[in-house]
Amino acid sequence: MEMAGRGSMRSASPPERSEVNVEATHRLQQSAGNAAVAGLMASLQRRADVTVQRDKTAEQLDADYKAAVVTGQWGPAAENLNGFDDAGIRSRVALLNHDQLIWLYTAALATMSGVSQTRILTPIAAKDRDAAFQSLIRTGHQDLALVLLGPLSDADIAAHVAALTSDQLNRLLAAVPVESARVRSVLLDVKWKAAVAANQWSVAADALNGFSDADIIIRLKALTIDQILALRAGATTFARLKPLIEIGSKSFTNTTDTGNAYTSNALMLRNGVLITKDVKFVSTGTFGAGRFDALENRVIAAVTAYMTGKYKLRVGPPGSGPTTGDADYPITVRVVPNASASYAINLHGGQSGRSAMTASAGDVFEKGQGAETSVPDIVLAHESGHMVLGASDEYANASVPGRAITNDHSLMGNFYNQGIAAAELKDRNMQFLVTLAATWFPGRTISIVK
Amino acid sequence: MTSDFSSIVTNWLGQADPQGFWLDYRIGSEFYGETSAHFEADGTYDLWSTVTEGRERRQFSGQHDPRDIGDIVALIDREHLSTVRHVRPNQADDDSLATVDIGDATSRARVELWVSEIESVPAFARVQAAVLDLIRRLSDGTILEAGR
Repeated sequence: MEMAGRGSMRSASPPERSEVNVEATHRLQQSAGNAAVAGLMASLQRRADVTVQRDKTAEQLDADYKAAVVTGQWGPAAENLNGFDDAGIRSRVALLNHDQLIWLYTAALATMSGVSQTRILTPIAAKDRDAAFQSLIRTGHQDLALVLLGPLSDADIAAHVAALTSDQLNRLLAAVPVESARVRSVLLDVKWKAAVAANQWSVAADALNGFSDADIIIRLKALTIDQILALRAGATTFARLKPLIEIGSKSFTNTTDTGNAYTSNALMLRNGVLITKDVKFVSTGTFGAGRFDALENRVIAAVTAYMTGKYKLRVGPPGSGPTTGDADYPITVRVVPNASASYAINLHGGQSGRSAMTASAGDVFEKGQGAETSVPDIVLAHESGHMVLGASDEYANASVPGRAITNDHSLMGNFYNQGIAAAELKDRNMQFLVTLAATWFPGRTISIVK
Repeated sequence: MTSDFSSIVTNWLGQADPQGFWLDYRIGSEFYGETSAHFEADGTYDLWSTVTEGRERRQFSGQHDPRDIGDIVALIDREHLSTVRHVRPNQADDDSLATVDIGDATSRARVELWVSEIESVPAFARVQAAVLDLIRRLSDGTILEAGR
């Protein structure tokens, strides 16, 4: 027997259904504006005077149900479905696809109540929890949607909310009760990840601000340097985040053995150290079309290639146990083109010569030196080692007596003789950061590591 | 012994057949390459450089027309090279010296700049250009020194 007892057939009075429809419509108006759902709700309102035929045969009921499903009349479909017993409902629900289940669930929410509504909603949720969840979200039932999420694992919760609009997610977050910290954390994480992926940094900051300090730091450490810089710019209205994102910043001056003092900037971020120098690139000589920009870009790229990601600043014990700042901070080095910079590099187009740097300006020759036809990348990095890091040369030069000469494949040494391929920045060239960082991590042991 | 640069130049140019005078030019370091030239007033020369194809040290010596070096000394005189001084308080990084030494059997004198200064000192730049032109001729283009 598939038909339900007549006593279980729902025949809600039109006024009752009208109240439900008004409430549902209001919730929809607060929602992200799912036009299709809004259309359904309007349709359901127009059908508010429909009543179930109590004298249908099982065959007629089934035929009416199928016709309603085929034509997308989900209010009648729900009401006809309610005419079957529980097994009959389950078997028909099992034949519907995800989208159909969303429609059916939405219609049941709007047109039914009490036990009858439960008879439709429960098997749909059992078969396709996400369909029920999506329907609840679209109809503004955030509280019920949260009930559905409660028993799920973190991963399953994240999967259910992954497709929500930011507005839907925000309203769901607003409905999370204080005691549901786990669900709230998962929702915040979804919001955070979506905002990061979309480069929506003020939104990301808003999400981040909902976490504990420890959870914020975990997330900050997973960002790239560019991402944390963008977040820093987007988080200005969140005073709490600033010290978590940025540990400190300071300009520093290192003087080479020739007496040239070079000033650059260090920014201690939660996920790494960023060393920058603003440079005004000046064209001199004669460049071919596009060659000036190409050489400028080569300088910038050479610094990245030879200096970024080569070392980390390690902060840790001994001390009085672990502290929040203990970590390895990857070091990023960048030359930042800036037409207003006080430091200039003269790029000599079409000329050969010995590139060199002074405290206030540098010279780079496009053609390199001697038989070279183009200044090698390693020379661009070497010269940048002076102007950005204040690193001294490490090769013999009669005009600099007492210089520390090295033979360990240093970028600042004579790589022409020792081998260009093996040349690398040495940790000694980053050692100044140990002293600099001591002001940000008092009492900790700080070192430079690979 | 060290002497006055301009006096040696004057003495050299004052003789119809100068003997015993010499002129040295040197520039660079082991990093970017070095070039050295020694010219005798009688036309004898000795050159070497690592600013060559493959940074190989190449050496040249022989005899050239003494008027070539005489012309350079005359240029040194006209340009008042003896008055050249450093224009920066210290050398650049990767900088090296460019020197012109002049002397005879008993005395010598030097004018020097950092390579990075040469562009700012036209007198030195013009003398250097003449010296480098001679070096390139005598090395048949093997020495690629640009003087920068």
